[in-house]
Amino acid sequence: MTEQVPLLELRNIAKSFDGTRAVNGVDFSCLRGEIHGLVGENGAGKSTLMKVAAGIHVPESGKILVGGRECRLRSYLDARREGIGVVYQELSLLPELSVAENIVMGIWPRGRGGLIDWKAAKERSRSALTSIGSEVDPDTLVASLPMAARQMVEIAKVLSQKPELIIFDEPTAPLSSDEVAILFDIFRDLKSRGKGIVFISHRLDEVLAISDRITVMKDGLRVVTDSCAAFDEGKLISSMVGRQFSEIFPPKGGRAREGSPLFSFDGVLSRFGRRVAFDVGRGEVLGLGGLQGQGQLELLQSIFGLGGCERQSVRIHGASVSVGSPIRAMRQGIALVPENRNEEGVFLILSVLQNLSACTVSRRQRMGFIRPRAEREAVEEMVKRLSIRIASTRQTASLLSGGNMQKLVIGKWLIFNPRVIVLLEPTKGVDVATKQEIYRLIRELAERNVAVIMNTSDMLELIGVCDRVLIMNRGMLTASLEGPAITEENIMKASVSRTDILTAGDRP
Amino acid sequence: MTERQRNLRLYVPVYAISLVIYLAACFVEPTFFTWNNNVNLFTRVTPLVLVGIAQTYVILTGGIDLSIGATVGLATVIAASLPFVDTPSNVLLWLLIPPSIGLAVGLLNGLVITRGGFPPLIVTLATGAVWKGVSLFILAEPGGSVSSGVATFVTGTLFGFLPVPLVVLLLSVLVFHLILKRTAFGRSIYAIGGNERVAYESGIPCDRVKVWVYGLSGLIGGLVGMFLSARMSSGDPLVGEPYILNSIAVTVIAGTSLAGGRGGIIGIIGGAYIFDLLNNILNLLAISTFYQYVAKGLVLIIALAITSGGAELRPGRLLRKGRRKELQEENG
Repeated sequence: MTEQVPLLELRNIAKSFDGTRAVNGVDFSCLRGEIHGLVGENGAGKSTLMKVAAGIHVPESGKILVGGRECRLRSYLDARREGIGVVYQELSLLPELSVAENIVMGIWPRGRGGLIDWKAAKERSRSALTSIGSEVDPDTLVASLPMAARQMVEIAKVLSQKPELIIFDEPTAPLSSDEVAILFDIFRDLKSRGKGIVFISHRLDEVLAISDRITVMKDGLRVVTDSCAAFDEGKLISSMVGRQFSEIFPPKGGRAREGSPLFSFDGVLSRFGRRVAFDVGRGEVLGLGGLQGQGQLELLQSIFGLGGCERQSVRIHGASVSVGSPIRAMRQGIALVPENRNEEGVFLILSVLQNLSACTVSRRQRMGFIRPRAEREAVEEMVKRLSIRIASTRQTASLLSGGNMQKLVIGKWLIFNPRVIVLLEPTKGVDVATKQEIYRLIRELAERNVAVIMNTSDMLELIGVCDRVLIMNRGMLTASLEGPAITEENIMKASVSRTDILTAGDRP
Repeated sequence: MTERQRNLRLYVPVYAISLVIYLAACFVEPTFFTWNNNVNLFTRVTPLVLVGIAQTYVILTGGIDLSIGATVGLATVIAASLPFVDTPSNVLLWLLIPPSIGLAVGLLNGLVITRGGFPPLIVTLATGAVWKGVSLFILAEPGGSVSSGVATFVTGTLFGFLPVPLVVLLLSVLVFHLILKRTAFGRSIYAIGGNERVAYESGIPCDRVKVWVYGLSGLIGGLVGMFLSARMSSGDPLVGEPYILNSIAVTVIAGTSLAGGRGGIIGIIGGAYIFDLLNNILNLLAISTFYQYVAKGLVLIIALAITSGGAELRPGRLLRKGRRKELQEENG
């Protein structure tokens, strides 16, 4: 890189929350025409640093320079005026409004008499969407779009504000690999037009594939900034976690399936009208994979009474049971860790204690009253077991990092002590170290004879964690892979296959 | 911020403000600080505290109960229409019927809200109108009579010195605080207000809890009606009207978030005192009614600004805080 004035420069930025230093004297810069990868575990301070650049957080100390000129960013609007746009991890779209209404939000095209010119708005939205290769109709309600399409709308919205620097906070998390390729084309196009891009991601291969420079953060500090060529995945991970990266996945149990299955499911997916059946044994980790949105989530949610399947029959140890609602499913010892932890998993405004004890309050009662000590002990034990980083169990959950929030959700169900646990994308938006801890936990559960059913869009996870893998395509089960047959090639093949193993006469 | 810090920030100001107003009242009117006057105060504040507790429970789940005023009115009307000759069976009837009717009214609210999936605001507005109509039908204007034994008991003392209203006041705050903090029912209330979807997926019987919360609100409304009718020795179909908004105001001043999930009832007594003393002082100062309304409104907003929690979830407030700090740095 030549000596040019950076588009954005952050000098010695510090920001704390409740006395915890989230970012502690960090320097960061992004040049014109540069894609700057920013990686680190959850809670390393990446998002906080970028929120400083976006005007969301005002730092306690440090300078922000845009194009070499020092400026104060006190709000989102200040940052937008300085040409900084952010595509957020938790999308900032309003689901009950149309795509066009969302895209022009806050910078409405004015027509006669100061009224909003909706024709121009739709036109602007359409051109913003086509410029990134999306064919979404501007009149569609955002709520009716799948996550990946919403992500594109979000990107179109930010780009329509003509920013010079765009911060992408985990944009690839909800995207399939095809969609990631489209996103990277957009990145390259922006880069060729001299825009700066900051790319935050947990997917290290993607960061390595597209970045010019990479900055690694850890515990609120900058560990290293260097050109992409200086890194490989191993080096990135070891600088992120500060230890040698030896093994991501714990060894599998390798136990043979014993006797009759613990849990079996048979039902018809409402969206596809297809029959699906499978079973899981004691201590088995069953993975459900395939391309995203092929019915995996509906199938697994229906086990927990959240709908998605018709004419379903669930058996535990061969006996038919009812799982029509979460309460009924829990009576059968079934637990579910949802995909969207902010909406379905964590009580953001309640304390860590109330979160962890939520499923099991009635178990720790004496004469109708909760026994506070029993509760505290159960919660503190779980905090220790999952090494959840908190100042106090009375702390509100909203300020925890993504990884720690996920641990709250998992911990809540571990206290419940299920015999069947369903995990939906358990490592989504979670840092590497927490991922490893979650893998270890899954193994631990299997060793205790819990039947684990998990859905993940990360192929390596399917291969590394699961004893058996089912692949879904368009609501059909297209393969059941076991042991050495769980390979990338087999998974990919089955993901696009059109043969239903149930009707093909195979064992489910 | 931990829960405890938040609680301190919520409850200390409420009691500080009510103490300041109390001392101001004593200053304006020396007879204010007499035992008799204080007993009067307990008697007046108790119904407000009770409806405040009921409203807090409902608001903590993320709902609201606008029918509580009509429930109180209905209960006084029914209490005043029951036979007023003191026989043990009559007294028993008198003690059982108004609260039971309150409970039934409340449970009905809860069932309509949960089964129908309707917004609590509209449902309770509607049922409130219905019960107000029924009360006016039973007793078109204040009247009727109440068993004299009960009336003297309610306004009397225990063991010769403890005013019954004070006992009711303290006991109910204690009991309802314990229920809220130490039972599965109380926990479920916070969970539902915190995020009903998460609560549902955590196996909390949201609908059942909500039905009982509205039922409890109705039950308390019935008890308050009984208490008021004993105090007035009569029934009044409209006596509960002021409690609709006052119960909400007391709840919020006591630190409960209208969005649900945050708050509690420890601050309720302070909130009710602020309310009542304000009236009292303004009357003592012989300020005309017009100004009284204005002054009351202003003081309430000030109290709210000091006590209301939830600042940490309001981004605008955080931004302003940051800006203020920056300005300080610039100047200093």
